Amino acid sequence: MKLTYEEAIIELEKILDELEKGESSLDQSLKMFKKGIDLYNYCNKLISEAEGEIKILLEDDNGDMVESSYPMGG
Amino acid sequence: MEVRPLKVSEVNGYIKRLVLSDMILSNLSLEGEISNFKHHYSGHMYFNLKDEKAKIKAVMFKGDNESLSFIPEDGLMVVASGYVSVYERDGEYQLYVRHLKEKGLGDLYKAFEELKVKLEKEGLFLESSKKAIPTMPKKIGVVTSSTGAAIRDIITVLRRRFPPCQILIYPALVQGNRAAEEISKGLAYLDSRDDIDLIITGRGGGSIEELFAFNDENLARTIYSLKTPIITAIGHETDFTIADFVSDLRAPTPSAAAELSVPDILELEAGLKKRLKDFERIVTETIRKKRAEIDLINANLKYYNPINRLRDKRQELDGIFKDMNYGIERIIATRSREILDLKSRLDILNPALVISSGYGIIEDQAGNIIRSIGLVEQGDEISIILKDGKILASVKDIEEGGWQDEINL
Repeated sequence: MKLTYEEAIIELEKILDELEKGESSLDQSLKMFKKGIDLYNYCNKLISEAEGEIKILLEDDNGDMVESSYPMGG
Repeated sequence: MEVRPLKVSEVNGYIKRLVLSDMILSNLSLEGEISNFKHHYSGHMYFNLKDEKAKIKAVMFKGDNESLSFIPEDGLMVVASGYVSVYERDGEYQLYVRHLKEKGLGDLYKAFEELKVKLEKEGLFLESSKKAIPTMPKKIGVVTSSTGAAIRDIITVLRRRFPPCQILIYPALVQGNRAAEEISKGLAYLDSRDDIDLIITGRGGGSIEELFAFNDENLARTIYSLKTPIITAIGHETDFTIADFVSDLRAPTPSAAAELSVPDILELEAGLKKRLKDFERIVTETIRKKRAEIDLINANLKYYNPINRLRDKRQELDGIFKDMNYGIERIIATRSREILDLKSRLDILNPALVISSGYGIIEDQAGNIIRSIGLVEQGDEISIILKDGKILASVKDIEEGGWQDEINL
């Protein structure tokens, strides 16, 4: 599953709508429910990732760009 | 002989008098381009007038600027008339403007306008060529000064709104001759990487000269050529540069650029939570509905169960039986009453009662009651039963005729 957050949310909404209609069989509903929970967990993971790194680029002697950590609070 | 040292205020006061008494300085008219224009909340206007080589501070008080027919702004060429005096506290001389006339646009502004028209014609500002800003970039590249307020503001806002976002800073000068080139190089470098989802470039507020790097033609073309979406945030809300026109999105300030580039994690969390709630509600409801369906089916099954129908029939039978019973009982009761009636009537006719009142019963030898004279012959032995015994007799004679006739006699 390599959806963007928005795509996952759209899928989730679709499933919610479909379930809300209540026209699907119990079997289908359960399948949709499982997929919905997977999507929810996926979205949750995307926004619960660890704090992203902050790096600053510096040019080394050869003119190549090197990443080093950015001094925070300075 | 030693000269008494003067106080600073004495010197400033002296210079002020000197300046004010000068024929030329006390009443002059001078032309220049407005820069660093500020309309203070007190109503006074503060700005610089400048030409290619020099600048002079100027102030136009509220009472004088209220009658202006135009709004002064940076880059505007004006003719200002008034006098030069000294602001003693700071030891600064400045132009006190009494009248201000528009002369036309300044050179910098003209260059800006010309470039804007040219690039617009080429289609660099077209909405249709602007790239969509990703809604949740994993990594944002920032080209700006590594020491300015802009980068701090951007980091603060990104961290607050969406902590998972990674930030890669390409430090670049943001003012001066080399700024445009450095910024262009930074943008091209970040664009050449494949891990950057969004670029932000910009700087904090400054004079029109300080922001001018962002009006560079090559920088504009570099921005246009980028494959990565870019947000520009240059100066304040009121500042527009060529870079802003060509970028995919213009933000009024660096903080705003950061706001626009990532979603608010709190909103996302709230949205997700709401959807999970919806989910739980729908699932609970679905289960409840299905259960209700099953309950209904169950009820129907029970209702149509043959055993139930048998029971019903039995009940029906029971009813019939009851009715029948009731009928019989009624009949029996009626009959009982009839029998009692009969008994009381019989009682009236009881032979014992008859005998006790003086009548007798005549029987033949065999014990048959003799009701008629035809049943005996002369000489037959008969018995007459009375209340207290019987008389044995023999028939002497038989006479025909009714006892009623005798009574009637």
